[in-house]
Amino acid sequence: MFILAISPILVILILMVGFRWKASRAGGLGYLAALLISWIWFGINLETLAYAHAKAVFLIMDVLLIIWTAFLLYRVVAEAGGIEILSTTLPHLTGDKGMQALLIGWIFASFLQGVGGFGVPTAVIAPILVGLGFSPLNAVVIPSLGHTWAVTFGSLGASFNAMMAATGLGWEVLAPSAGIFLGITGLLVGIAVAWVVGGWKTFRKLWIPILVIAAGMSTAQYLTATLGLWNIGGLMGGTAGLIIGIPLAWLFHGKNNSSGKINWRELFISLAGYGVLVLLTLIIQLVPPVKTFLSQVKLGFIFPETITGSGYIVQAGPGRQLYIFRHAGMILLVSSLAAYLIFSKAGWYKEGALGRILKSTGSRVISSSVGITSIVMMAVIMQHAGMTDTLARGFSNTIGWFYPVVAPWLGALGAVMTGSNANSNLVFSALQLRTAEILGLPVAIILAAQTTGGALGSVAAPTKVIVGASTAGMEGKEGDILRKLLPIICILLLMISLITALTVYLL
Amino acid sequence: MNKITAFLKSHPALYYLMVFLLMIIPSVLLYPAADGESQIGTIFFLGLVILANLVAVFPYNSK
Repeated sequence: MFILAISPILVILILMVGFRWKASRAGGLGYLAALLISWIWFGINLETLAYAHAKAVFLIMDVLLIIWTAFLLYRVVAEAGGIEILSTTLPHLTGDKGMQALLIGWIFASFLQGVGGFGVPTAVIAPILVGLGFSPLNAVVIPSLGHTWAVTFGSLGASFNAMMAATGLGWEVLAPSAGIFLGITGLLVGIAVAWVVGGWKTFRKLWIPILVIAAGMSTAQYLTATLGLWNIGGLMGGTAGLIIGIPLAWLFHGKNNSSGKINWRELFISLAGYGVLVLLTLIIQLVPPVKTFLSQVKLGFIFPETITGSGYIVQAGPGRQLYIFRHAGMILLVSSLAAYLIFSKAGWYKEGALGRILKSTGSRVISSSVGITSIVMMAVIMQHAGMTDTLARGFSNTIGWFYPVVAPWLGALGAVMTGSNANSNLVFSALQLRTAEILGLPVAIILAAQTTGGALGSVAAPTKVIVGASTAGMEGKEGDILRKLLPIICILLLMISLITALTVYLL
Repeated sequence: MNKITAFLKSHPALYYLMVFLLMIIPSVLLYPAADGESQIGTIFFLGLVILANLVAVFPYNSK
């Protein structure tokens, strides 16, 4: 039964990694496999299937609303030239290669992950680093590593939201541990970036800024996420990094500092859209009357208890509820509109900008939306059929006390195979939760290990490596990138495994 | 029908949007169908979701 239960996941893994299928295709076959196996071997009935599908819709919309609107906001800013201004301004701050890598490949990459994600950090930064004289290989590897720690709370919290949706647990439970694990990862990737540039020599030279920046970014992300503002956790981490990193870059400016070219007014306007986002999120989350007023409309069903032919019961209760007017997606949509108006007023758009923004947003997100829909439906069917429970029991029986060491690798595997931390969280979070419950392990720690592993693994996903390679002029040399990236990712994963085990068994 | 097919083939975003809606809308309708104990309705809407996933499995071909 364990082999049958894991088959839909294996189908997706094999098709995406082995046959390079897109998530939209592989997800469809994974869904069909889950449907067939749950019906023939796990005794799922028509009624349970119907409720599982309806429940999945709310999970899907919860995740997709953020993904759609986060990319819309990114396109609104990019179309106005805001991202280009940031990209051209930052290199002028320092001529030191190590500091440039930290400022652009670590801090700015994290900021871009906070606001955009979807492979944007590497795609934007790799050409900048090539232009600054970095080798194309390092130009891809540096931002790929640099933004990993910001993936979960980045993309306006899409991956973290996916974990909450898949487990049914709130941010109060999940954010503290995830914030700490990702914060530690932030320091580790900062060290890794310095090492890639010039080995331990660069690290020894820049260890003070690395420590200061890592502490600032990690603390900002942790505090934001644990205050309930998880959708701007990555954004605030990246912003804190820029606030701390820019003066530090002046201190470690090297020989070719040409800071006179910076236009601070332009820089300020280019960040206006994200300023509106932070302001709206703070108002909604921290002013109770506003939150109460916006919470009046919610979408959702109350689901009855379901039982399969083999006796697996899912308790009755509400599924995921969408508070539509205070949803992170709605805040992003309003921020996008505000940013569009600001840039229009400032005359930053060329003719036909609105059409280009909407077209590029639609074409970029809709294919992945199909994949996410199939994968979430598959995961919910597996949960309702008892397949996830079977997997969890199998893992707990075979791996047992060693499970905390395995948990981050499972998250990483999910991210490599599905191409994203969010998808990994959708596929594996419920399994990790159930396994932790069966083994009596702290659920929040295991899920923090899941999402940290997912964040690290996501940068080694074939799709992201291909995007990075194409923007740095390394088409066809994806293997070289993976050969340099994978050992570093594996070392970081080993460290997270160790931290997970120590946290579970010693603290 | 041929015109619709040709149009969708030249607009990949619209093609994926159709597949996405074919997955989502019948899935929502499965709740009232199951709640009203309508077996035919449940089978019909479930069939549509399965069809959408089958369509998704085949590669998008713009030719």
